[in-house]
Amino acid sequence: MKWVFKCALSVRALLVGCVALLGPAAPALGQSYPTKPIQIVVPFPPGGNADMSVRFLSSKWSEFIGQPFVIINKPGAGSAVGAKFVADAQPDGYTLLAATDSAMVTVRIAQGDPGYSLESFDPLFAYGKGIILFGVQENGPYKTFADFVAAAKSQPGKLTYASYGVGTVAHFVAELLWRNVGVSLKYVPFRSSPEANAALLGGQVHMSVPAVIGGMKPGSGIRFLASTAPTRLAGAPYIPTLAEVGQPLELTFLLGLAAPKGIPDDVKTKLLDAHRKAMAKYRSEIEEQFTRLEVIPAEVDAAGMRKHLDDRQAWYSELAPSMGLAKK
Amino acid sequence: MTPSDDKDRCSGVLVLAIATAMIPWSLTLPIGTVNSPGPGLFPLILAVLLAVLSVGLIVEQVRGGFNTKLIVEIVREEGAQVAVFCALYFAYALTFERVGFLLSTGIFLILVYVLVLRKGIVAAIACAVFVTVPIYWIFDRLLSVSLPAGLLG
Amino acid sequence: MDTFSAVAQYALVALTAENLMFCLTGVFIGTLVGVLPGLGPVGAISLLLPVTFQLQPASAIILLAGIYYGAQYGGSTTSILIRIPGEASSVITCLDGYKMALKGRAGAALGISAIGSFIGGTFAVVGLMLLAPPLSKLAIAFGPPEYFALLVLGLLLLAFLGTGSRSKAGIMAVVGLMIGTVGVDMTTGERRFTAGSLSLMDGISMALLAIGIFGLGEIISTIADRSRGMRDVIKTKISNLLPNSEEWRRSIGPIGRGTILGFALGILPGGGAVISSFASYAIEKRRSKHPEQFGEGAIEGVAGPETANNAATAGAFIPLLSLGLPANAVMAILLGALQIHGVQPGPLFLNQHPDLFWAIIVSMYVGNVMLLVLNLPLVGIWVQLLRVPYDLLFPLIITFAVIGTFSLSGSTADLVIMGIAGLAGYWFQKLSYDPAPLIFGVVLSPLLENAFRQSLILSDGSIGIFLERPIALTFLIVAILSFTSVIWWPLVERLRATRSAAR
Repeated sequence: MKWVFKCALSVRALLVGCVALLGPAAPALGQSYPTKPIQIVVPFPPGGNADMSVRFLSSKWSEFIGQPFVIINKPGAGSAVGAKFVADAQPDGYTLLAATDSAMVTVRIAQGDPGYSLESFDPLFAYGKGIILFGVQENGPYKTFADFVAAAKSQPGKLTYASYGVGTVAHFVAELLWRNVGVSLKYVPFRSSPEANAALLGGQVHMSVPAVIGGMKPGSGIRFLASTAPTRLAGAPYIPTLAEVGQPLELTFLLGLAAPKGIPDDVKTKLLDAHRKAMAKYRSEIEEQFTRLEVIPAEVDAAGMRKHLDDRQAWYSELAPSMGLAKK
Repeated sequence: MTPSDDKDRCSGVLVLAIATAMIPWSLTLPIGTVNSPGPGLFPLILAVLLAVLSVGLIVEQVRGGFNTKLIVEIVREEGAQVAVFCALYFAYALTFERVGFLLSTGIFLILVYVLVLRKGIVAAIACAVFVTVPIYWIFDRLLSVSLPAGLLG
Repeated sequence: MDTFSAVAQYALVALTAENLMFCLTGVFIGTLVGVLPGLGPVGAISLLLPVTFQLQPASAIILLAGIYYGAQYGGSTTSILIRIPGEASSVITCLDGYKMALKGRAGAALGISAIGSFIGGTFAVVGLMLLAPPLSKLAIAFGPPEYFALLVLGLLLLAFLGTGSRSKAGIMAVVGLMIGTVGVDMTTGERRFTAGSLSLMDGISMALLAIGIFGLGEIISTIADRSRGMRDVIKTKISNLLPNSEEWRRSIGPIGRGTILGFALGILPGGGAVISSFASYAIEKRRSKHPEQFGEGAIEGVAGPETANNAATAGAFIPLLSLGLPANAVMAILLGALQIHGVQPGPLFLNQHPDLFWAIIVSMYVGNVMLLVLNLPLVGIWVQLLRVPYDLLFPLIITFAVIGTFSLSGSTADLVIMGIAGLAGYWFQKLSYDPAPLIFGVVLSPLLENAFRQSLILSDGSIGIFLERPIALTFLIVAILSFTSVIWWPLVERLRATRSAAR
């Protein structure tokens, strides 16, 4: 069914109509940016937390920017298709990318040259952090992260873990963690986080490394031994952080906005202002929604986002050869 | 010899050629081992399987000489029209995005009406406009399936 | 929990006037996007997503689910009328549905699709209601080895059907599998046969090939025939609109089997509507006393698959609701829509949100009734389309094919691939190659290869993993038995004959 979600139904007319009715009046002609709706390209199929969070947030931004945002899903090639589309677009501020570590860093390391690089973009700001989790069977032998590490150490290369694909953020994060801990596990790639969780529930693998809890609360069959969140999660305070299990690594990924390189400074400022104003006015509503979507609210500016991406780029490229990903 | 034998042998040769070309292409990818197969293994197995099947198809009716009469007949009777249509289609496909939906589709349809379906030019233009404009309006404007505007945009 | 008192209790939630209206809106939009090429349920649902932020969770999911199963009703319409599949799951209907239309039985084909969809949809909802918890356990038990064995069985069933040359069917299946290897290799991230194109990284879409081989191929064939002065598309008078008693009799079995098959395959992650429609076709052709009629307008080849794909949509709710596992792109959006409302499907969903679960179930019953009422009168209207002279119909078909293709990924490359597929489809007809195994091969190839390689990672490279697991082993034995049936079936027959002669 892959083809179905490619239906590039750009719903401009209807959506613009809807949002224009709800939002404030458009500014008069001849005024500066923005004078028309702003496209945000989401390089994933609709429904995931990167997609849902930017859909929700952008409906708040439009109040302060005076124009509606239109979400366009351009999935494909592990997010490279959408990112390439934005990299090639005019840097006029009307085409933005819902940027994550995936499109900006990991896809390029894992799959070779997609026709753009980190230099093709101006990062704008990040609004949230995504996490990676480490889960085992609830009534299995491993009650804590230390249990699991001990088991993995006693039988090197025997334990298996499942996640949502080769060369994804979760794959890099997990491998980085294994190297730090000093264990070696076998990786079994699946297509999505829920599929990896189902494989764990069915006893196909020893561990699942998803990017969402996805309804796997206590009592559902999966025990999460740790998450990469900096502090305990608002929605799942029973999951320890990596620091608490003795691995103080900063391994979140960012959810933010990026524009094609060369976007004017006043446009950057306007977008950031809109986000700040939206956060000021709707903070509690937005944070509640983020908790539901398992996104940690964060405010990272362009420089911080840039640094985060550069760091990841360095760490992951260094790690890639040991993961069998460095041949291109 | 029945006509279908003849067709099968000819197409069998074609498939064999494709299979033989695919084998070296698959070998450019890492094959891995049976215990940990690489990305090239599955395509390689398929290419070999295809070669075997096509040889099977050729051998299945090995009686009788190699004869291309039936395929030659198909090409002679229908080839010209099919070739003209396909040439028009590929030209249309390649210009679709740049020239835009309305213009490229309109011109394509007019040419097909005149060159392939042998209609008069007036009828052709009428039919092409009658089809293209409402479809563009319904899909692009009403349903927001974005169709390329191209030169008109 | 007592199922029936629960239904009675929660039916009230679903049956508020407001929710009935959302249900009707959903199934109506679904029918529409199912019929129109280039517009799928995913596009329509993501369009309505922001609207549902304001709704109650039950209303939101009723509306969005309605679009999803409604689209399955509409998808067969263009397959039957102009041989262009409206949805991926209606591809197989192009084979016999279109041939039925050529014979003047378009009404019967459309009618049996709607009725089969209704029966499949309704009974699968009963299955969803009664069997959701145990079946979710079964879905979990399906690991990569089981999945691989099931796919092998399915592929052999379809590739080696009774009629025609086995080598040719095998060639088509293998070519399909090869086309399916184009793109990024899931296990290593390596690019295969992409020639540096980003749009090929996700592989060649099966829908694209189907539109080309069936839709464009049919146009080229018609042009070719006309140049010989043969055939004008539909000459036969369109006789009565609904299936006649003979057609009814032949459809009952396929509808029954299609319901079970669709529901069962719908549960499997990644399986779903497309595979169940192909599997149903294969099984009906196997079972039929006249397999030679398949591909020539056998009503079984429409009734079975169209039932199965609808039953699969209900089956797909089981992994979504009980595991939080979306079986396809539409389910992924439904998951997102539920999350926005603070509802997180998973193993605890049924206990925590019984009201929502039953509201969905009840709305699906009602929605299927609405769809039947909506679709049967439409049959009469659609059939009128066939009265349009071919000279006017033909540009419509070709434009639909182009819009349908372009909207998949918006790339020129896809239009070119569609053209090549069309030319291939024309030659397949001329050289009598059956395109069904090819399309099925494209669908199965990545699933088959991934399941195989995941299995080998799990077993440290030992093929034994397929023989140690009972479910996988059973599938493989059945596959081998059916594959070799040409050899042993005559022996059984002979044995039976000698025994009865001895008596």
